[in-house]
Amino acid sequence: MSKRIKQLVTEFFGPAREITGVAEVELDLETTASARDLLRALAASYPALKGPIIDPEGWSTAPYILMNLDGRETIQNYDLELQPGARVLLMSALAGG
Amino acid sequence: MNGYTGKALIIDLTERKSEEIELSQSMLRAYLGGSGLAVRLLYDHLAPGVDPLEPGNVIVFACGVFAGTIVPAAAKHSVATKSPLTGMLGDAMAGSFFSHTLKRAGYDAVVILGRADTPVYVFIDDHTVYFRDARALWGQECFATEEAIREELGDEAVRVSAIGTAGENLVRFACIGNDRGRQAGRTGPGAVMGSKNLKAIAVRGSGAVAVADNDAVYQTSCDLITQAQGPATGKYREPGTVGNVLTLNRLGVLPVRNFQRTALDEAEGISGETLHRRHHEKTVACAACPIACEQVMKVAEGSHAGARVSVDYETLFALGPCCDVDDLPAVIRAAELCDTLGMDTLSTGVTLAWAMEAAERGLLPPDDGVDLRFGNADAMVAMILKIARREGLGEILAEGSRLAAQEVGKDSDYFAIHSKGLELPGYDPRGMKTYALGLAVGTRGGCHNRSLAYEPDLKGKVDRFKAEKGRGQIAMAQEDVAVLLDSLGICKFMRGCFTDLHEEGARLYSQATGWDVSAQELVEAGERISNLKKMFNVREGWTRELDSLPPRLMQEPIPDGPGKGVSLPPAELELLVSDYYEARGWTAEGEVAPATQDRLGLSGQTA
Amino acid sequence: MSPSPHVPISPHARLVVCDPDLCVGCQLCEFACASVKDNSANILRSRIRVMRQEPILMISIACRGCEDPVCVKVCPRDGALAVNPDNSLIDVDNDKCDGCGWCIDACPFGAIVLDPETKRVIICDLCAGRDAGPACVEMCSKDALEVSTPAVVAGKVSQSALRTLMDALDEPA
Repeated sequence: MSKRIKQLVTEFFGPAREITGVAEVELDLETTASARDLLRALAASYPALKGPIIDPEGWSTAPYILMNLDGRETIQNYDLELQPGARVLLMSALAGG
Repeated sequence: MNGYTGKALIIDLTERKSEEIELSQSMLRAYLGGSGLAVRLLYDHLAPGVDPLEPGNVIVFACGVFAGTIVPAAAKHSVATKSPLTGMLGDAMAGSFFSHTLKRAGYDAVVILGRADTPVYVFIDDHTVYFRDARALWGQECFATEEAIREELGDEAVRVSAIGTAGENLVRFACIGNDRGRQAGRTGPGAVMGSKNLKAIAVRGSGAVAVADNDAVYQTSCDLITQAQGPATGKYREPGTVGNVLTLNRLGVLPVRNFQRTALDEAEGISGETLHRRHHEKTVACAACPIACEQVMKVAEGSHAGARVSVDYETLFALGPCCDVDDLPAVIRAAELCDTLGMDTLSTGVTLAWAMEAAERGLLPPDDGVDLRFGNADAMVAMILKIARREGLGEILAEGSRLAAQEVGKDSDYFAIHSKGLELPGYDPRGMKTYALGLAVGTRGGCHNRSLAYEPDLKGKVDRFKAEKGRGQIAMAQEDVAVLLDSLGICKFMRGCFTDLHEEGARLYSQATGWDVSAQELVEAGERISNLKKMFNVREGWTRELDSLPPRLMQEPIPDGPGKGVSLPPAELELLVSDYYEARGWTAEGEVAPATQDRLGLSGQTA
Repeated sequence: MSPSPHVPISPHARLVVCDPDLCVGCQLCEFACASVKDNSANILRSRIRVMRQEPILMISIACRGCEDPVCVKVCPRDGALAVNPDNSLIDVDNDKCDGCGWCIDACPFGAIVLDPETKRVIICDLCAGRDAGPACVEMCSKDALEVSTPAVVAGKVSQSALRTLMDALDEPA
C-alpha cells in the first residue's frame, strides 16, 4: 500500500529558473514532508540545483538564495512541515537597483 | 597624504576664480569621502534658506575614499546640493571614471559656488582650472556633450560630468551624466548645474593616487575581486537587477499603475529575463568594478529601432509597470531619452504615472497630440521630450509629482507618489514595513538605496507585513551601513562580498591611508554622517510632517496578491517613525538632540 | 597620428589578446599591471590600456608583436628597443632609452607608454619571469584576456563566426 502523499508546487525565479528551465514544478511528497525534504526531492529531480541553489550538505538553500512560502514569508526553519497545496518559491535574495 | 589627495577645489563661477583648500586628516576621518565629505562641505559652504535654483546654492562633487585605486567597485562619486525637487538635501551618486580622474588631478572634492553669466564648462587640467565657453554646447544632450568636450580638448582621457537639455531647462529631477551612461541621478542636481549656467565639468588627471601599503591594498582587493565572482553578486551579473520584476511581482510588492496595484496579471512580457533575452547587447562595468552590472540593451527593429541604453530595475519599473507599459522597446527608448536629455528615470516614470492617472480622471488639461493614459507607450515617450523642453504639459510635469499636484489641485496630491518630493522607487511599502519607515525618514526623500531598509523585509529577517517597535533600530543600522558605503564610495552591490563590512572596511581604509582606523570608528562615522544629513534638513526648515508617505499608501489596503488587505495607516507609520527617532537619540519632534550632536562631534558646527 | 596602413603581426608572437565581447572595460588589468610590475597604484604605469568607446566598445590593448616593428625602426637611440626573439615582443634597454617618445607616436596600436616616474618607455613583456604569467590575465575575472598567438586567435574567430552562422540558421524565420 502506497504512502499517503501531498502535492507541493515549487516556483523557480532567477538562477533557479535558469538552471531548471521551467517556471514551476509539482512534486508528490509524503504528507509529513518538511521544507528540507522538498529540497532533497528538488535536487533529485534537478541535480544541477545542487550547489548554486541548494546546499547538498545541510539541505538548506545556498547562500543568497531564499525559500519563500506562498509569497508571504521566508522559510527559516527547514524542518517546517509544508501544508498540502503550499507553493514554495526559490529566489535570489533581493537587493537594490 | 596617502589614499586621499588632501585637497579640495573651490570654484566660484560668478568670479570665474578657483582656489585650493586643504582637507585635514581629522576632517577626512570624521566624514570619510563621497557622500559624507560632500555633505560636510555643502553644510559648511551653503547659507541656509537659499532657493535651490538661485546662484547662492552650492554643489559639491566628492570622490569616494578609494577612487583612483584598485579597490574594486569603489569609484563612486557623490554630488550634494540643496535639492530643487525636495527643498532638502540633494544627495546623488554615480559610478565612474570621473572620480578616478578627479582624484588623479589632485582633488578629493570640488565645491562650486555662484553662477556664470554665460554658459560655461569648467576644465580641471590637473591643478589648472579653465572656464571655457559652453554656448555652442548649450542645447546638446549629455553624451554628445561629453564627446564634444573630448573632441574640443583633443584628449580621449578627459572625463566629463555633463547635463543635458533637462538640466538647462531646470527640470527639477534633472540628473548629471558621466562616462556615457552613468548618472548622479536623483534629487535634481542637473537643474542646479543648469541654474548656474554650468554645462559640464571636464577633468584630466595625470597624477597618481598613492596608497600607504600597496601590497596590502592589492591583496585585499584581489580577495574582494574573487568574492565578487561568487554568489553574493550573481544576480547583478546576470540578468542584472531587472531580475527583480518577477520576484517582486510574486511577492506582491511590484507597484503597478501608479501604485494602484501590487502585481501584474502577466509579468513575463515585461520581465528582466525577457528584456535580457530579447535586447541584451553588452555587459559593461564602472571603473575598477569586477561585477559589471550595467546591461546595455538595444532595440533591433520596429519604430524604436536603434535605441540603446543600459536598463536597471528601477528604470524598468518606473517606465514599465508603474505606467502600465508592457512594450519593452518603448521602455528602452524612454530610458535612452531620459539618459540623453539628462533626467532621472525613476522620477520621470513615477511623475508620468501620476500624470496618466490625473489625465484619466480628467484633472489635466489636454496636451496637443499626446494622449496620456496608462499603457500608452507612445504618449510616455512623447511626453519625456516635452518635459525636457518644458513644452505643453511638460511645463507642469517638469516640476515633479509634488509640485505638479499642487499646481493641478483637485486632490491630485492623494496619488502623487513621493516622500519629501522625491518619487518612490519600485517596491510597495505597505507590504514592507521596515522599508516604509526607511522611506519616510530618509533625508533625501523616498529612497530605497539610502535606507537599505528593504533588506530585512525581503530576506525575511522580520515579518514584513508587521509594524512594531524595534524596527527603528533596524532601519537606523541599515541606513548607517548605506551611508558608510556611500561615503567610502563603495558600490552597495559589493556589500555581500564583505563578511564584516566595518572590520574589513577599516582594514582597507588603514592600508590605503596609513592611519590606524578601527571598525568602531567607521561605525561612528556612519552615524555621524547620517546625523549631519538630518541637521542639514532641519536647518533648511524640515518638520516632522515631512517624514511621511503618500496618502494613497496610508489609506488604501493592498488590493491584490499575497499581501491583500494589509494596510499602513498613519498611526502605524507614526509608531515606526517615533521608534526610529528614539533609536537615533533624537528629540520626540525628530531633531538631532544636543547630546547626540555632542557625542558625534557635530555641535557648534553651524555655518 | 594616423595608424600605418599595413602592420602585419608576427605569426610567432605570443601576446596578451582581449576579446571585446567579454571585456567590460573595468580597467582592473591596468591596476594589476602597475601593481605587479612596479608595486605602484598608478595606472599610468600600466603596459596594458583599456580603450572605452561607450556605450559598448571596450577592449584592452598591449603590445601586438608586429612583424617588422615600427617602434624599433624609428628609435633614434640605437638599440634601445629590440625584438625579443622568444616572443616577438619588444625589449627596452633602460640605459639607452631616454624617453624621447618617438616610438610612442609611431606605434599604430598606442601600446607603448611613457612611465611618468622613470621617464622611460614601458612595453608589455608578458610579465617575464613571473610564474603565474601575466598579471592582467590572472586579474581578468571576465576571461576576456589570454596569452595567445595570432594563429590561435584567428582559429577562434573562425569558429565563433561559424557558431553565429549556425545560430542564425536555427532561428525560426
